[in-house]
Amino acid sequence: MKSALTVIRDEHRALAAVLRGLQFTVEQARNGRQNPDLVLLKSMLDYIEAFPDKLHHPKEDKYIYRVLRERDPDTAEKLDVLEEEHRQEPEWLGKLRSKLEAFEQDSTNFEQFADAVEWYVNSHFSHMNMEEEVILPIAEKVLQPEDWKTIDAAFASNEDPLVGVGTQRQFRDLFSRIVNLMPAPYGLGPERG
Amino acid sequence: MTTHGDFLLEAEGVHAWYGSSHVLHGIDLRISRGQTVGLLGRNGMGKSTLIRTLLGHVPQRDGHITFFGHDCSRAKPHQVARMGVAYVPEGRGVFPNLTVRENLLMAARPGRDGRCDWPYERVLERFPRLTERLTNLGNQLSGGEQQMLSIGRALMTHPDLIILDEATEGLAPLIVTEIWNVITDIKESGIATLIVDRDFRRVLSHSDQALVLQKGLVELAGPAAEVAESPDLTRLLGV
Repeated sequence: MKSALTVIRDEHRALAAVLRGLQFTVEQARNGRQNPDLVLLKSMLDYIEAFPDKLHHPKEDKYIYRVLRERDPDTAEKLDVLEEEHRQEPEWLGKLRSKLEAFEQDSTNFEQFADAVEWYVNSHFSHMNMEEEVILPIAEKVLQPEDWKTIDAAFASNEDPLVGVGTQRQFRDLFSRIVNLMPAPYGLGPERG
Repeated sequence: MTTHGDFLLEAEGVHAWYGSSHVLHGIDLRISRGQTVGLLGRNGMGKSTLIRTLLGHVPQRDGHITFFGHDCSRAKPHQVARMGVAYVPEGRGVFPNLTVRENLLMAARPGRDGRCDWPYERVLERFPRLTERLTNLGNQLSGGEQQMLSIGRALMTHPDLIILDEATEGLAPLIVTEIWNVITDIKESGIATLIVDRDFRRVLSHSDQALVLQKGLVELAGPAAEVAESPDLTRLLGV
């Protein structure tokens, strides 16, 4: 069984790859190198909405942060910030989708969309860095073996054939779609003019 | 209880030399059917030499190597391949002057037990980009496309074991993650894998068992989750 920390780090890496891909696509368009692929952009937003928002963040909040607050009250302030960011995430993503729709209807709206992507990606990385560099190391120190037993079991549930293989399969398929649409060298898709 | 018959690969006391240089010093390694095994160690510790020795590429070798109970200690590479072992080498090994289609079909054959669950169509479905590149030559592909072709070609031999040596080397993060997803698919289809990769965390998170080499010796081995928790791991990997 994978440990909860391994699952979180794996999921962060997958999310980071999609966020970098989103950033790369927008930068290429901004520099006039490639026309942005709307299907690709929507697929990436779908992935972010489906995966971290609905599966990843709730597990962090419910299993790790909750116990960490009890074991180390000094972390409360930082955890408040992270949980607030988790709560705001659907709204941020909604705004990003609106900007993308505006751009789809009128290409002069591209810069607003590109700015929103830049802000969104940077916010996400700063959030993940706080988790990986500050919160998870504290959790490794202060949580007890019995805490990890419960947390690991909860995180393993989306590996469980009865619970999560279909979900995992869906995420992998969506991820593959993104990789195959993303132009080389960042992905496997054809170059766009 | 595990018996000898359960192991797809059993290597005992494997030694290897390059000229007068003694590189492997008695390695033991066992891989069961469908199992994923991670092979870790710093550069120059013997990982690639161990793989090349198992595959029959290192002539100066000693020890006992069996695949499905058949003695392959002195087998040549093509004999090992026929035992159901596919190799995705570092550098991908794509034939530059053959088309994508030819690269895939040249290696295709049923598995040892007649299995044909990774036919041409399924490989193209799993690697859709290759469908668009079927008539392109191997040397016209991007690094990521070459790697997908190399893995697709390995799957079309219907192996029982795939050895992946640095399959993610030099590729962009999205493609790297996709390769790990492919490795998960391979595992789910019941094929055993032996993985060498620099990202030790990902190796350990995808493996059932792991071993860490140091100067041609196994310094740490066991279930991947236990190896991941070992206080010796970072020292052995120099991280």
